[in-house]
Amino acid sequence: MVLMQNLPEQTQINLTKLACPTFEAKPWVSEKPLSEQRVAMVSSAGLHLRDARRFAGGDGNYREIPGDTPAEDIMMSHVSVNYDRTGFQQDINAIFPLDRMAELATEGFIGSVADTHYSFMGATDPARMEDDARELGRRLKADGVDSAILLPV
Amino acid sequence: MSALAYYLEDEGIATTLISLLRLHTEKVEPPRALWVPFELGRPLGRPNDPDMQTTVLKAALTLLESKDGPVVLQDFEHAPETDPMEGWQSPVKTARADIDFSDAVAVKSALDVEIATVMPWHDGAAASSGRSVFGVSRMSPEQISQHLTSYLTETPDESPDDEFSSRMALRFGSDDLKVYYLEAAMAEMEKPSSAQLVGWFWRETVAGQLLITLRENALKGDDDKLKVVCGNFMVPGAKVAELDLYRP
Repeated sequence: MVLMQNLPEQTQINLTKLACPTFEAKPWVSEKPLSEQRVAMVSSAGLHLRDARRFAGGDGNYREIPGDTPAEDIMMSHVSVNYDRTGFQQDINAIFPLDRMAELATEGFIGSVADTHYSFMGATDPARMEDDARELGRRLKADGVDSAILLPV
Repeated sequence: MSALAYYLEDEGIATTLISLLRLHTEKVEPPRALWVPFELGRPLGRPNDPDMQTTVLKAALTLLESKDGPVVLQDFEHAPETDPMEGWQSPVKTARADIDFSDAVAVKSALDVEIATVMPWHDGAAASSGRSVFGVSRMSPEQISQHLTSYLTETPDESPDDEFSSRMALRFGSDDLKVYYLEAAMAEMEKPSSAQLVGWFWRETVAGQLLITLRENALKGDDDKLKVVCGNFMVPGAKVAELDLYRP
């Protein structure tokens, strides 16, 4: 359904007007075969552990979500009310596919799944996330992670 | 999201992303992206559809092997969304009778009765699925009722915890109340569409009308921070338009 023309008129206007950053450089990391890559998930759904600090508006930090966290303990405190949350309420895999990623590693489609995943909260000026995002990139590198799949909401 | 891809890739991590909003992805040009035609909030498509989720994931992950970027933007084939269930009615029977929403005591009383009606459905749903994502406010439903209705008075309650302000507790309480009700409404095996669920909450519950009232009161008041919380983060823009709610 989510073709732009199916969204409410005001949402269309807001989304169309939203300022997007542009980048001169086009970084490109060539990786080894997928079946050898260690992959982390990075969500922008404002996810965090049940007891972790919740997301406030404009919060550019990320939260850690260990890969063995039970779905029951993954909460959402995203500021936006303009997207569906009933999918998340029914099935964590609809937005943060912990089970599917584990299956793909078992099957050998990817090499392995990272021990820890991460979530930012979208609807935040990307400039406010830059320092943390770059720090996360270095951290993933240090942890032996090759690649990340970025999951919006 | 696309900017995050840029920052991570620049630090040496290969990225692929699932894109729900093609317009933004085209503007920012992340290294690799799979555009999917799903509802906002469902990047992997339908909940409880493992085959679809795996198909989407594989398509997005496969882009990590592409050598000919940037930019790779691939379309995912159109997939069916949750169709509305004909004749669906919430199993939770609420009664939004004639309540004076300027009377905080009356509203709290009606909301408490409604919460007691919702509770067995919610708890049953949580028990059968083994999961509830209620709890972001760290208040019980009854405490949420107290905190939210206190904003119908001249003297709203203080924050119940030391992490955030009273206004933020209002936001988290509002989010949690929706979770509580919607999880209850999804108690039955067959799931209606998100539009049906959300429509029920906003049209048929005291809780929904309370949030609509808090929004309108705040927008007509002079507390700028409260205007932001209640005006932007309580009622979806789509519902403001559909129900023709107050607009300043």
